[in-house]
Amino acid sequence: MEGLRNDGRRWNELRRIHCQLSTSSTNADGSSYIEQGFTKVLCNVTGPAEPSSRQKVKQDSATVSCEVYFAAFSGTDRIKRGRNDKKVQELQTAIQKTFSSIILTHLFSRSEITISVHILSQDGGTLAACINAATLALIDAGIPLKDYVCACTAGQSTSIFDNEGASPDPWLDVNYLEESDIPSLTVATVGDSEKIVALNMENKVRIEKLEAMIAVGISGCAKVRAIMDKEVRRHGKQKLEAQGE
Amino acid sequence: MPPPTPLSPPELSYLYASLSLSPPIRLDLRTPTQFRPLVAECSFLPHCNGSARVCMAEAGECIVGIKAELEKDATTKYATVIEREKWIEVSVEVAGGGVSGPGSGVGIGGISGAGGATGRDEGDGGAAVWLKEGLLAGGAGGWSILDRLVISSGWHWKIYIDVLLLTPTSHPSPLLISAAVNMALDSTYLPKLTSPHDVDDIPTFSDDWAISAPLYEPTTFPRPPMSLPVVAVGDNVFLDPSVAEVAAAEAGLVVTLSLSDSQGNCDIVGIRSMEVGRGGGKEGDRKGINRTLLRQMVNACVKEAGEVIKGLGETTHKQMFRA
Repeated sequence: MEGLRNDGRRWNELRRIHCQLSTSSTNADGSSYIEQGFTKVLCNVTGPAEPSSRQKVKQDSATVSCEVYFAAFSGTDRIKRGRNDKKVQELQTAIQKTFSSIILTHLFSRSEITISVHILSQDGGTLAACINAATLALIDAGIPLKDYVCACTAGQSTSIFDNEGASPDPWLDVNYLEESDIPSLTVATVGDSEKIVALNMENKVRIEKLEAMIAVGISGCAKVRAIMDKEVRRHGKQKLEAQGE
Repeated sequence: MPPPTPLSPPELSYLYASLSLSPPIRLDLRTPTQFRPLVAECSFLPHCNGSARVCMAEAGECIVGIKAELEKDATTKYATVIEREKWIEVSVEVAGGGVSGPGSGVGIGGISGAGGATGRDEGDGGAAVWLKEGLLAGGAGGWSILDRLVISSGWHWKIYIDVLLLTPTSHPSPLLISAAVNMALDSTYLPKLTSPHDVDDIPTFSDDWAISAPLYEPTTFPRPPMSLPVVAVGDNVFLDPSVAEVAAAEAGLVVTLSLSDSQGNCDIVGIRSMEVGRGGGKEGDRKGINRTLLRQMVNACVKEAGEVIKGLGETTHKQMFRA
């Protein structure tokens, strides 16, 4: 029998992804909500708008800024993370850098695009979920992007070997238990080009395992993209039909 | 500081005139006691004992997560009132949509009390204080939520209520926050105790959520509290006022109620004054409330709110994970 993971998935299966666009009734220009398994993230996008401070004015392009908020109740234990928390800053920089290269910023000079991400529930793959949510919210806000940015995680089980001594396949889309147990990486690709825009790994892994992990991660990104694309099209169609009435 | 509005003095005066007519005309053509529609859902966060999300068109969005942690009593003898009140911790965080930024240091809904919208319930004012105040007041029967938090001798639950506000203004309606907290409390479950009640050792609990105990037993009363904003213009009283109506009002109250029976009767568990705009008069020219008007405002809440709180409760019970 092929080995199943502790939540019953095979090595190349994603968790259930549920995404929504235009979720917020606030004055945000675009909003989205994504659930990847038990990881739940909400994203609001404002802009392009007047920059909030002088420092953020760029003469030839838009500034992309990112705010990440961890809800105190998002983890197993109640932890309050301030604005200067290392983890928060790291996520903010990763998202900000990723999207600065994807948004067509040269179209909006002297303006600011703010992505605010709220993490409501964490169960592995937080960065991936944040990137996916931000893509959807930017699409909802109508901000021109080069293509979808889709992110996914992949992990390499180190302890299990099959009879021939070969290591097993990497695991796609790790959950919290797997993430704390085995080395894993987050990879984000642009559209269906298999080009990587963000790659993040915080553990040690043997170099020969890395390529397989990235390959599995990229295949996961393609699956995520298909799901997101379906939802964007469904939402767009629904909006057009509502307008036609 | 009254809530800031984008309305100019002539606009305010026009609004004041139409609200003081008999019968009054509201901007959105609601009747004086009609509430605005809201979207509410609960029990969607797997890491929380109870959770809820409430959306209102103008006021924005509010997400509440409730977590319960095991805590040892601070004193070996029977805990004092002050210690017991620390068993519940409320904190409100405001995260605006980008440009407007976090709360600008004004109380939520303009409710009296120093301190910002952001804050904890430790005497710095703001929403966390009146949320907790309503929660601790048990209603006419002498019932207290704190009694339900006792696990065994020497141990109790500590309840963390974290409110996350995603709003365009620093003055969201108190109704938004209190509806979300109400729903989250109503859908809170605590794991079932498996060790004996009278032993001092660390209590043990069942892993089975199917036999967990609700914090508020669904068929008993009082229910979790709910705070309603009410304003008066002339002799007219309006429930669930919009931002513009608050700006044009002469007097405002936040009345906290809890449902006391299945007929929809309510007990009043707290009243606070709400800061309003300049009304019909000049800036700083405040008329105050006389007894008749005060009675009218509170009456309107008690009469009309029962049905709304009951409706919210029924929705919660339908959506709960054990429904």
